[in-house]
Amino acid sequence: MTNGWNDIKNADLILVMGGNPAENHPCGFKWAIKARQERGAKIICVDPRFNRTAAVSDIFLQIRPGSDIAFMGGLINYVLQNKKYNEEYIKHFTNAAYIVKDTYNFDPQTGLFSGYDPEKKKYDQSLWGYELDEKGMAKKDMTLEHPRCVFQLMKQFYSRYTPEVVEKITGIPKDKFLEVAKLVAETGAPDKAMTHLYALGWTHHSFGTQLIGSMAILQLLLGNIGVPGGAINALRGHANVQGMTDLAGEGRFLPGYLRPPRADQQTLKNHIEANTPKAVDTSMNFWANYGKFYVSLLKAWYGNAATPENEFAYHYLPKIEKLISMDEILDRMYRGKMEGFVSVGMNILASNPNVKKIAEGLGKLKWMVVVEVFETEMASFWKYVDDPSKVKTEVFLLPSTLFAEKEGSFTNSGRVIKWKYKAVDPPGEAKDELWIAGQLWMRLKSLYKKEGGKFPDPILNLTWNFQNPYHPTAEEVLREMNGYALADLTDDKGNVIVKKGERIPGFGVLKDDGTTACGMWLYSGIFPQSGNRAKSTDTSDPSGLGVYPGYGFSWPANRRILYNRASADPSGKPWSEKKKYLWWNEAEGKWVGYDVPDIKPDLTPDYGPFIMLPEGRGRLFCAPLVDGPFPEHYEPVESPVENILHPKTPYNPVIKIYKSDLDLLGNPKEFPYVATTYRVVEHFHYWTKHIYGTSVLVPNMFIEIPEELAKELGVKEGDKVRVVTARGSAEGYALPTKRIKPLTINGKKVYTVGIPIHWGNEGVVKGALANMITPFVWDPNSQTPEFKGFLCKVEKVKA
Amino acid sequence: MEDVRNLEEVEIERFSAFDRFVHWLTAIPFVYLFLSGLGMYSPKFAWLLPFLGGKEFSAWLHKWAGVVFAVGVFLMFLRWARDFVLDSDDMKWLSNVKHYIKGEEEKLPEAGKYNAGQKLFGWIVFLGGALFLITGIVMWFPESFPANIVRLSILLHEIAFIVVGAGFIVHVYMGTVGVPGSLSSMITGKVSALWAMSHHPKWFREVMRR
Amino acid sequence: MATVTTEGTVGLGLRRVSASKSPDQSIKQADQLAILVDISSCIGCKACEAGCSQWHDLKPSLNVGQGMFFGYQSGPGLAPNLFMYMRFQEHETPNGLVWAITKYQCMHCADPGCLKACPSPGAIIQYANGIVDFDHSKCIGCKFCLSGCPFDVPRYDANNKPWKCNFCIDRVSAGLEPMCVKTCPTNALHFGTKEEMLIRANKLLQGLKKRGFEKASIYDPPGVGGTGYIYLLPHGDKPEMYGLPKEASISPLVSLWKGPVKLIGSIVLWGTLLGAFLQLILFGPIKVGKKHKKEG
Repeated sequence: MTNGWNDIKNADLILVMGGNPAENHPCGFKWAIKARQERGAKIICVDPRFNRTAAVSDIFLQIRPGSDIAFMGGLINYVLQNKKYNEEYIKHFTNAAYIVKDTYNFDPQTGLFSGYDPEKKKYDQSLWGYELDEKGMAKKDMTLEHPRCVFQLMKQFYSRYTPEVVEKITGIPKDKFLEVAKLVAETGAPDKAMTHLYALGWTHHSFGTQLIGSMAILQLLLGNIGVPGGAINALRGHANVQGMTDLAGEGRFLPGYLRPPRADQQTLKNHIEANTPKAVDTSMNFWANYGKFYVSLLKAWYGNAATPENEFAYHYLPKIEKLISMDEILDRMYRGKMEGFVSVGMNILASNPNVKKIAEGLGKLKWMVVVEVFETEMASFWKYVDDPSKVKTEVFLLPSTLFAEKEGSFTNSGRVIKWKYKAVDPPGEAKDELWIAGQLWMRLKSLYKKEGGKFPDPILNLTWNFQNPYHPTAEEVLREMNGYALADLTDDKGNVIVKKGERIPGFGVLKDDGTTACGMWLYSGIFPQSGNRAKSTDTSDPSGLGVYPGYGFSWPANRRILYNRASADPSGKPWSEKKKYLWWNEAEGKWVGYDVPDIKPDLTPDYGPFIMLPEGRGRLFCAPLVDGPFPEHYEPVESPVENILHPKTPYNPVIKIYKSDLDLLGNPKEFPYVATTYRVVEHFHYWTKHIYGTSVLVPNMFIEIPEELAKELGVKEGDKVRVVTARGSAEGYALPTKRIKPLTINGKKVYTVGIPIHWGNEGVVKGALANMITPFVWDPNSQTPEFKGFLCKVEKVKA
Repeated sequence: MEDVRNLEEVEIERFSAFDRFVHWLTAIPFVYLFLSGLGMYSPKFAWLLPFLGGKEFSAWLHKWAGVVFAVGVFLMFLRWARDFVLDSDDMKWLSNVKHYIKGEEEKLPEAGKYNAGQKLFGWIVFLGGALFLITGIVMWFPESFPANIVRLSILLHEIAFIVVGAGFIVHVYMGTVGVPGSLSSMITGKVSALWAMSHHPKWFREVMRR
Repeated sequence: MATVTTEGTVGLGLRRVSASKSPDQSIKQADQLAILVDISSCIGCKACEAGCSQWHDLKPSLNVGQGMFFGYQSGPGLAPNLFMYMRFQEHETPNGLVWAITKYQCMHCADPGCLKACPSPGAIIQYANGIVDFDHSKCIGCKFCLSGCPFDVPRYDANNKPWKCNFCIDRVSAGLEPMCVKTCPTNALHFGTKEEMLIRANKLLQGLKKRGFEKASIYDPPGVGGTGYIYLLPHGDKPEMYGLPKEASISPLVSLWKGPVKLIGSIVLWGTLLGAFLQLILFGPIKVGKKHKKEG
């Protein structure tokens, strides 16, 4: 979330698309209800199903799964054509005025951007850059009239997304679309804001990143980023998945979104240069600090072994040839290229597409460690293998702890880190993960000490300063993440601001000379010398805007709204009194307001608010995305209809298609219906089915079918049906419903079938794993599987 | 006087063993039903329940006693329904029942084996029993019937209770204090010829003829 | 008449006690309590249902297997081991589809039909704060309360003891909100005095009307003297859509058997007894051979 949960109450319009917060984020959804009750905000829900959010929304639009970019393109076009954008905002706070190189091009006939290599299925992204002047600054046309300025290119690009086209692709009637477009466009007024709530309904597509990009464009056009009640709010699916992401939950990151070294970056200097962008405009260009964070991380890891002479032990880090993401891991496993696997608090069998492929892959491992609180499907994966007798994988199931059985912190979707205390002891021999990690580490270390090995240094020299090295505490780890001074730190005038050995007050003091150590720069400031700020519970809200600065700690630097400098106009005055949040105090020469400024406090208003970008401006045109600088509508890989914009390029052209014998794709002739998977509020993933009290709430796996389709199939509520795709099938009770209507897509009747995911082979209640049927297809930017929108057929199961 | 003395000594069989069995099969559960029903029906008589085995027990036994009672009534119906058909004399008897109350039986049409009052009570028991049974079953399993049927059943059960209860009071009074000799007839099965002659002359003559 | 011993002599104040004289209400007083269910903010998450079962240590039945599928509902309805449940109904209306999701449980009527119907002294009690509760130690298992209830709420266990929502009287007595209110994530449930809740409901009602729900209304059925659970219904003209009876009142049949019939019954039965007695003292038993004896 670029804003926080509480801030939703400041919204004038709440657009829920690509998420179902009432269902999956019920506690946070109360802020949407509050916005409506207290400010008369409207809630709009756009979803393939009339879900629980729709049940309490003001307007519901049923959209075909996988057609969201067309809808967003329609909205962008509406805002542009009707001049509903905030002109000042886009001129000064976005790259609308930037001139794009003439090597950029988009061919609406083929649906391809310039630089496409059909062999490698890759774009040459360098063709899409800005035109730079001799100083390396981006060329701009502040009148926005240059034919190659981003604004004009965008206008031309989205002119194809007329309400008629939107209707043909999404199935949303033109008048309904226009009704919503009007409401959305109205929030372009400076005193209004729309917030957007999304979750996996948008990320689970082969174009998920582009989809979120499309909303970024819309919100930037409307001036809704950085203001209270605005933002693009990604609602995270677990209590601490934000924390997991921040702490390198994906292979493409090190903690704090730093990058792992690549094979072509053999020296630290190379690596830092490659990752330190140069400002192309008046930008704070925050990533210029990359080197400070990186060196501090290396110091935190390797302590005295990391010296300026050895490039802070950079040579300890593995240099990767290629990004290994989840899809790649699973595919390698299936191809028998992996030996072992350690899974901590994860059920990769149940939560990834094409269970069969994954199960067969797990069966080719030599060993697997599963650290879990239940015996999950992952731990007993052989039940999903064709011939279990051939499985040689040795599985170690280590009983672990639930959240209430250990202390630690949660980082919520709004980036607020809150401490939680242990409530009960874990049962039996279950141990918390820090104990498991400590024990494992100390044993590994002693083995390396005894036996040497190929390269023992990184292991032997790792900092492990815990009171009980066999069982570090969560606070000890958090202290290390916060960082500490290895020498007295001084300010410009030579005054000591942090004494040697003390914990630092924030990432602002980090240095790249080895005098600071910081395990996770983004969280720095959470545990200053004064104590653990995640434990703070001050519920005062001086501004009344739901900022709660004393409650927990919000990364970065306890900032509640990101890019909050954008809540003031280019001159630094609030856009409106109603949305007053941060403003430039001319007399003091600094930014003041209700929140920690998301800019260097004394940086003049001409600096752009989007400090993380070298432009300092929000990107309407985003060259670094591998599948195009503008979001374009591509069909899901399995789609019931042709792509009417460009039939020759129906789906995302850069997506990687796996070609093993189990990577099967279906066609609309054999599999005529669109399927989408989702969760229900009563269950949490594949966990709560292990618990009686939650199992009773929704005990049976079911399949939601439009009433009309149920009639065609001769299926009644409570009949058993089987959803079949090219990969496999899943059985459940039929739930014919009025809440999913057949859609007319470009003249063709299309049915949507809904499949909730929460069941499996293990637990109090059992059922089919929904991912038996989902396709092994992934977003090329984020490597997220396409769970929303694939093809199926439905059969009645004879009793 | 001799006649009289003779008649007093002569015993006539009024109720067979089966008759008596059926009567008491019905009567004993009914007494329990009446008292426990009264205790449940009116909080003022809730004190009865402890004597009947306690609240829960009596509520439980009430149902099963009802079943036995229903069986009894059914057998009674088989046994006596034909005997209890009311004829024109009976109607006359009923319209002049005040004479009976005053003890002036001679002013009434002569009664057969059963006088009209007895017959009437018989029918009250038959119909009341049927009503008790049907409504009782509904009340026993209220979850299996529509709510309004249950409510109506409770009402009818109560009305039946009032009517049968009143009849029962009269019956007990007549059978004990009101008409001496009646109770022993239902115990031994026999009445004196004199008793028969004075209360049921028509029946007495029939018996004599045989 | 049995005396109510619930919570001792100095327990909660009582307003009504089944089959008993009205308690002296001048001794204790309490505000009438209420829970407001704001249907327009309810997302049907069943947190209240889970919380209710957990607080009351219930083990609701697990409805699995053929014939045991109830869609989004946890089961077919209330049960002795389930004091409340969420009801899901889909309706097409002129204004579009409505997914009516309703929390369903004992309504805690001001004039409770169950209490009225109950023949056992003290088995059903209404506290001064309006909470209606059962006392199993005094219950005779007759199931009359089921007939008295206009909302089809009490459910009997294997021992013929009825169960239902008790408004978390244990929590409320300790100054806590009922468990369902505590768990509700969207503030669709509000707890306070009935007066406050009606004010709040009216405020929310105005908001709903502004949003275009012209027929929105507050469900507080006068037929039972108002209820302890009041509902804010967006489609207030059709409470049936939410599974709530349009005109909730105690059945006239119940009133009949608790009123006139009872009176007639006492007159008839006492009258009969009296009649028999009068016959005895005025005319004496109908003996045999009176005539003959006179002659003799």
